[in-house]
Amino acid sequence: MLYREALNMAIDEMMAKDENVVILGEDVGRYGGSYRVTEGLVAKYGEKRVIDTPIAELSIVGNAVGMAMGGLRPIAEIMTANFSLLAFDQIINHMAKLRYMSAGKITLAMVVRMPGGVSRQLAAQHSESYEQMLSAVPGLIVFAASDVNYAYHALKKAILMDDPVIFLEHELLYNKEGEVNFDEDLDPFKARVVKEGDGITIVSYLKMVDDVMEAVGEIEDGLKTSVEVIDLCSLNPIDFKTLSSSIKKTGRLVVVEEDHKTGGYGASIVSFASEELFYELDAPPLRIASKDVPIPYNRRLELEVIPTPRKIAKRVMEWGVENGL
Amino acid sequence: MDYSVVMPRLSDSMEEGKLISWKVREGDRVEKRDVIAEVESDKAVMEVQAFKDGVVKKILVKEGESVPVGKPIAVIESEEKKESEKSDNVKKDSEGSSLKIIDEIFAKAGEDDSQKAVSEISKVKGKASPKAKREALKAGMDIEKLQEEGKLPSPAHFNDIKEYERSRYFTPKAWKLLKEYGISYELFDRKRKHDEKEVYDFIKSNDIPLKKRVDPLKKAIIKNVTASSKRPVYRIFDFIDTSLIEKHKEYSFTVWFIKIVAIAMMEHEGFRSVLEGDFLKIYPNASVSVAVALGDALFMPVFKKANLKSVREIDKELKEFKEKISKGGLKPQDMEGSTFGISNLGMLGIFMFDAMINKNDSAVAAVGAARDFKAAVTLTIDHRLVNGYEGALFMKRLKELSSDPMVFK
Repeated sequence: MLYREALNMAIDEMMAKDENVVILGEDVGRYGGSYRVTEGLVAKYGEKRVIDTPIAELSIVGNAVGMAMGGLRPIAEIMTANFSLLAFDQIINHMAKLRYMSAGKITLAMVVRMPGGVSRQLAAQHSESYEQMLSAVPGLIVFAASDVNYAYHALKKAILMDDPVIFLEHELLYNKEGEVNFDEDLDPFKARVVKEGDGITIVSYLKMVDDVMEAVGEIEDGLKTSVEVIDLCSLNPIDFKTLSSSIKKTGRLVVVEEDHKTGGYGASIVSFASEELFYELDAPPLRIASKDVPIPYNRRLELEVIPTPRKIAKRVMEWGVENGL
Repeated sequence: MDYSVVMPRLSDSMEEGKLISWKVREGDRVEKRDVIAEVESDKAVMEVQAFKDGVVKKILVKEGESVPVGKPIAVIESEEKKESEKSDNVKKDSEGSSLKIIDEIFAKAGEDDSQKAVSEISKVKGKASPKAKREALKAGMDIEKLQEEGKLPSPAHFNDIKEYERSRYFTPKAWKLLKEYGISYELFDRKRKHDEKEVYDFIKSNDIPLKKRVDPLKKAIIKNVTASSKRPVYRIFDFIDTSLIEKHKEYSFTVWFIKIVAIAMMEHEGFRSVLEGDFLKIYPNASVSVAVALGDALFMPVFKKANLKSVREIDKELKEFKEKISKGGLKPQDMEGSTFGISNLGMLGIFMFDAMINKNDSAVAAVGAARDFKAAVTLTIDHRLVNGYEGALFMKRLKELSSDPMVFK
């Protein structure tokens, strides 16, 4: 099954189960979604539940907030995380805060889905990642789906939750192949140990998990150690339990993210490790991230700016050698 | 479960309150929101309510007494179940609810005993990772001193400390033995220092083999002989007359034999051939490889175009090869280009043996020790290149040449 098909199936199942579940966004209806995630749903559930909206992100989220206040369970789609900037007032001031400010009288059972990250030559205005901003807003749950199984289960659980959820996807993952374990009762808040190891902990999320997995063989051969790869899955709250047991085991932490390094999301993981696990560390934590420039359009420059499997392997090996491996 | 009713803060500036009157007595039943007492703040008299249903277990403050805000004034035994039982129920009720899972996740991640010694760890001197310092503290090691003495690298990491800590229970030689044999240090007690003899006795009594990595040279040899063993070969045995060779002692047996073989090869092109796929590559000259052993390593230097060389030149080349091999200066190109091989174990007194064909050679001649002016020669020949008849002719020619005075002129 493809990643986008898993998302489609999750939404479809929830819409079939609960008529309060509605979806809205640009091109989600007749066009089937920019990335075909909502394909076929308008034919099945009609235009009242699958709503094509104008190009107006603030009102997409604003309408979803209103629907959720009225008891519906809306799933809003923002075409890319880059456009979510237009909806930030609704997301931060309303979606995240109404439950708190109403002393729990208002619940917002809603999900805002959006893909982010660097795709392929979409240029600076369509290549950003905003998980660092979205995860810094108290009141929002932020999930990041890097694989097909998690995408399916976590989106279903997100729709079921009474709390507002930001559901992050990645443009290059929509056609990723994978299996869904339908019998699993997946905990979407739990980080996923993609590969076990006891020499280095590499933490990542979204598409970078695949890049890290591609680099792991070279790193293990080069440094003669084993690598544990953790996919964070839930960016807010963070599964510190899984993180800390891995860091305690390895004493070495690497965080790989596609976002720019300065102010990037990985900083909070490194900060956690140095605040809470300082005496467990056997080497200074390493962050691998994109360079601090707007993502270039030129493919060679684009690849120069973002982490790639080759660059990840090289950097981790340099760092390992510098630090006693 | 018991809970305490405390002196409430009734205004921003209130720091203590005076208990005016109790509305209940010990043993009374109260319900949530029942007024149980009146207290006076700095501004007014106000009522204190019960927050839970229960029985007043104890009254702690007498009427007219003043107590600070937050101090318990009474204990009420609540009818609610204990916190732990209660949360169990909650869990069951809201299986899969996000709140429950979030609570679990926020349960403090980094706590354990190791964190208690934090202040001590930060006092450990020397340049080392935090994890290494913690380990050094546990083991009572002085990182700074050991680094000055060159016994620990700087910065030191966890494994360096572990390694040093373990090695302290062994003499340097004993530690080296442990490493060589890959024996765990845990098999020895840590009450005293163990010496080399002790470790060696342990190795002997437990019959632990030494695991040596096969070096690249040895690997290459293994690869070659394995390939050689797959070739379709047959053997021809005979003796050559060595009286002339022994008469001309100015050159060694090997040198003379190379010369004889080179002459014979020029008359039998099968022995100058290499099989390459659908083609036979037939060389115009006779290049001969000769086995030279150095310890457990075997080298096959090649005497290129031996047919064009005099015995003096061959002798000189052999000496150069031996020198190169003992100094490790033999180059790959020195071992390429042959089509026939010679292996001589005569100097060890071996009477007769057979050898394996080297790389792409067509055949190999194994020469034994000369007895009564006769030496056994075994030809191992690749049947794809040379058939039995030709092989026999070649052997015959070797015999003729070895007793031909013209060769020794």
